[in-house]
Amino acid sequence: MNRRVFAATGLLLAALLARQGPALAQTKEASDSCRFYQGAVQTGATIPDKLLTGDWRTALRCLVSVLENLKERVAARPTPDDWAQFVRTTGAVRIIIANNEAVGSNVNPAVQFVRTIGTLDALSTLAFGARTEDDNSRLNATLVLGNVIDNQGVCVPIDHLYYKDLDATAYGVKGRANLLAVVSVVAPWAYKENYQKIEALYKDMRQQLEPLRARPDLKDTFSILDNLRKRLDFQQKPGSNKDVSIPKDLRACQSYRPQWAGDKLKYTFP
Amino acid sequence: VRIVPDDSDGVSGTVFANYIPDVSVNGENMPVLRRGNSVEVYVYYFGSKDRTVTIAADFYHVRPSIKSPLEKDHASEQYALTLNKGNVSSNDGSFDFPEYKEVFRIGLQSDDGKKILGADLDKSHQPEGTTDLAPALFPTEK
Repeated sequence: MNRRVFAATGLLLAALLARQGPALAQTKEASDSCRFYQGAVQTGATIPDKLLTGDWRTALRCLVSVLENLKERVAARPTPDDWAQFVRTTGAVRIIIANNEAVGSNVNPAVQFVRTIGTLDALSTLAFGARTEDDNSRLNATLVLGNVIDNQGVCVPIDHLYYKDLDATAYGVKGRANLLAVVSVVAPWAYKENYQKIEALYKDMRQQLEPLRARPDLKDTFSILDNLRKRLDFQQKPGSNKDVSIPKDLRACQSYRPQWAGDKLKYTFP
Repeated sequence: VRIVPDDSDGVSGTVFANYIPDVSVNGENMPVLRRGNSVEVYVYYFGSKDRTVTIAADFYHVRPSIKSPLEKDHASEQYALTLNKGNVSSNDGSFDFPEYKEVFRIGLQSDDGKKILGADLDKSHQPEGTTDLAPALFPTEK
C-alpha cells in the first residue's frame, strides 16, 4: 500500500516538475541575464556594445529594473556611487535608443519598448537624476526622460517641478529647465487630464518666475516656458487630445502618489 | 602609460572597443597595445634626464556598421607626461618602459548624441499637422 502511495506521489511530482521545467528555466535565464547588467552597473565593468546591439530588449528590461531599484536611494541620500551607477545605466539606455534610431517618421522601437515596460518608479529615478547635482546624471536623465515620456508617466516630472527648493541651487535651476522641457514633449498630445495639469503647472511657474525675469541664469528656463506655451496652444484645433479623457490603458498616473504637488496631481476619471 | 575611456559619461566605456588608437609622443609614433578596456602606450625612457613630453592620442571609429549617433567618428586628445623616476609606479615593463602613475582619459561621446531622438515621432499620440509644431527645447548643459 505504502509502496503504491510512494510510487503515485513520485509520478505526480515527476509530472509536475516536467510541466514546471521550461518555465523555471526561463525565469532562471532571465534573472541570470539581468545579473550581468546589475553587476556591470554596480562594479563599473564595461557592458560590451554587442550586448546592447544584439538582444537589446533584454538589456532594456534589465536596465529599467536597475533604475526602479535605484529609486529609494536617489530619493533619500544618494552617494556619488549611486549617481555613478545611474550614469552607467542611463548611458547604456541612451546607446540602445541611439542604436535604434528611427528612420523617417517611424517610432524608435527602443523608445516604444521602454514606454511599454517602464514604471513610475523608473521614471521617478530619472526625474531625480534630471535635477541632481551630478552633471553627467542630469544630462543622461534628461535625454532618456525626454525620449520616453508620454501620457502614462508625465505626472512624475510634473510632481518634481512642484518641489519648492529648485531655485535654491544652480543645479536645481538647471534641473527645473530640464524637467520643463521633458513636460513640454507631451504638451501637444496630452490628453484632457494631463493637459489640465500641464496648463496649471505652466501658470504656477509663470507666476513664480515672472518677478525673476532679469536673472541671466533663468534665460533658458523662460525660453522653455515660452516653448511649452506654444506646444500647449498647438491643441487649440478642434478634435485635439486635450478634449479626450486619457484612454484606460494609459492611466498609470492614477496610482501615482505625488510627493510635492499634492491635490494638483489628483486624477479622477468619469 | 595607459589611456582609458572617460567612464563618467556612461557611454565611452561601452563603445571604446569600436575604436583604434594612433598615439604619438612629440610627433613620433609610439607602439600601443590594447589590454581590456585600456590602451597601453609604450613611451620609452632612457633615464638620461627628466623631461615633459606631449602625448597626442587619436582614436578612430572602425565599425561603421554599428556606429550610433552617440559615438564620435574621431576623438583627439593631448596629454602632458613628465618622464622621471618619481613618476613611475612600476618597472614591470623593464627600465626602458616603466609604468607611469598617470592614467589618461578619452571621451568618445559625440555632441550629436546629446539631443532627443524620438520624442516627437510617436504617431500614436501625435496630433495631425505636426509640421507647424515648435520642437521641444532641451537645454544643453555642456
